[in-house]
Amino acid sequence: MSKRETLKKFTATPDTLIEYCKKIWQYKSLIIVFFKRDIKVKYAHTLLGLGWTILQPLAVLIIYTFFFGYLLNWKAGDLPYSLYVLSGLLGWNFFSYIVFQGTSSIQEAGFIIKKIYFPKAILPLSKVLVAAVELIISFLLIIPLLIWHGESLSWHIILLPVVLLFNSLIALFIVLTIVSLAFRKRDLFHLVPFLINLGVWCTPVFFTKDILPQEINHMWYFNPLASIVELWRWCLFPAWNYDIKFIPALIAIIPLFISGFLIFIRNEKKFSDFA
Amino acid sequence: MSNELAIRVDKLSKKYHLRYPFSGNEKNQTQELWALKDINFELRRGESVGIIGPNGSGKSTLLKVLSGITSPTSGSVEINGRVAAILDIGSGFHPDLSGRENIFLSGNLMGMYNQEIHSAYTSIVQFSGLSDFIETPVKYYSSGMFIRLAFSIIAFLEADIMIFDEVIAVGDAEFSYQCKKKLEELIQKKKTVIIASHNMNDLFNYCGHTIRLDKGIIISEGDTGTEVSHYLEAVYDKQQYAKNNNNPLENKSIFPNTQSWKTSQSPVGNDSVRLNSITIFSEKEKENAVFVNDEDINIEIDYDVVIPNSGEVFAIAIHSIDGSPVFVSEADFNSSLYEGKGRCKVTCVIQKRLFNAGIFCVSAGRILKDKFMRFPVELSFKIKLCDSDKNVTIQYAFGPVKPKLNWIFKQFKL
Repeated sequence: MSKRETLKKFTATPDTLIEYCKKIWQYKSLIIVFFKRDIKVKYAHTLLGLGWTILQPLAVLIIYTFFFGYLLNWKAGDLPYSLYVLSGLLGWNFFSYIVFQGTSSIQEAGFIIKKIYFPKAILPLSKVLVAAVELIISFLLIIPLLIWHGESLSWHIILLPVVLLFNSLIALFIVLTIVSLAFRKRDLFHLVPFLINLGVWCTPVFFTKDILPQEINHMWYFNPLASIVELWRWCLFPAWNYDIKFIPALIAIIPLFISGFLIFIRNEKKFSDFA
Repeated sequence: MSNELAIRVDKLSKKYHLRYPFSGNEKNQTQELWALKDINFELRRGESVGIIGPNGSGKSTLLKVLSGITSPTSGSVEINGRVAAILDIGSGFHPDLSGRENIFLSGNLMGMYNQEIHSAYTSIVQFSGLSDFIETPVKYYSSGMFIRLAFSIIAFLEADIMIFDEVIAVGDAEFSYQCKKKLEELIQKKKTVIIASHNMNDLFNYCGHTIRLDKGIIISEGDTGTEVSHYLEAVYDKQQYAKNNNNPLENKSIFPNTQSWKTSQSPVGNDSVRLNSITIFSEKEKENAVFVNDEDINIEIDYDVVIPNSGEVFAIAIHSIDGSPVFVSEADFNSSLYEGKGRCKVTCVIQKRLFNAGIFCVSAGRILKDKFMRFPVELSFKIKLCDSDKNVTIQYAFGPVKPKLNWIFKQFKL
């Protein structure tokens, strides 16, 4: 007989951060199970299967490279425009996937939440893994582009896991906050697609950060996503310099995530009453 | 071990807000509803308890709080042991995944470890009887197959405390027998079992102790037999109360003993016979249909014969309050019920010491050849046990009849 949850007490008071993290640890295998379920279900009954994961970013890459890079002749410093867009898309898509899927995951699981107990944070966490698989597959696109342009990867790439961690934390911050604020009144859920569409134009994904006039150029430094996307490029390309003015926004992700997580824990127990 | 506390519920309350989002009236948009109010009880290892109560009495809410799905508004629940709460079956299933994948998904959701599922896997598949379809996505399963698979996972859950909401025996006759066997096995293993059910037989079979809930409050708790019969009587009282236009009859019995159609517009009966009235009475009790089991009960049918010699005979059937038949009895074919025209009376005497305590419903009709055609009789009566029987607390639990039988003793001397 296992020792899982042998002594428990349910009261009206929410869990502390540590208690909640312990619960997630107890249910860690569920993250993997949900992850496997999502991957299987997503590509069930498709001919291409995981191939879709590479086709989508490829199409976006081709469109943007053609329109902005070729027709409008946008430049990205020393970096070929296609590589600039791809590196931006990797971080941005990872973020937006977690936000989209994470916010809907709790709504979709309403019927399970009502009948079975598990820490609800498991659901968005499993979506991080799904997003990571998508990311790895679209990352493969970078190899032919590097060869084509005769570029090489930077040794900074060993720091990529740290970048991914920050990338996940900022996405989870958005997910956990929206979910905790919107479980009673669902208006915020309708804002998510809007926020994501707006966000991509507030982040240097397709264009370089010097597109803004000099006077308001410092606006970038308030956008944590911009700090992440730029960090991606610094990690991948030797020619790319990281603007140290981004570091405060990057560091801010940690307290943001923790506050989002705390709001989530405060509300988590009420989800089943509103699912 | 057996004295160890498994569950302690302390001053537990749960409040819900009912919302009327588009009612327009700003102030009345929410209304409070106490689904549970000040619930206290304790359960020790190996004890099993049943929970009964009408819909909306808070049974499911209580089980949800016990399993941690929803948190209490005040008070606390302490749980000592691993809990498996089966409030619904198959809710963790994904239609696109195969049976095998769903076993792992659902098992994990229920709190099983992967290695536990691995070791139980063959038994689960065997129990479900679905080995030929285990690689098929469950969306192609019939609903029976779906339920079988879902229950089979539950049957192999490793837990100290098992909580069931209505889902005890499912599927076809064979499978539900299998389920019951499995549950008995669990109880014998000294697991703590909590069952909320409307199936009284399940409660008798698995729970020695029962808690009666109504409107979020524990009305009473005790021996399952007593609680169930009180519950059923309360249900019946409520029906009678509604029938009598909500007139509280105070001390008067709410078991009317007669039903009459003399003044009714549409005649009751058929071409050959018209019913005037039907009355239940005993020697001592002629007003109320509440009898002690040591007296004979008479059921008297007053009728007019319209066409003599139609070949029909009267019959009465007795049902217990949950609707299950107890017995049927027909009048003797040789008796001359229909011979001449005019008013007649026939009385069926049910001899004493036949019924167990409880409430019984009477239906009457006529038998023509092999057919039983019912009259619209809506009478019922209540049986109390006589004093000499009262020291025996076996009541409803052992069925509707408690006949006086002959017991023959023999002693062998060495």
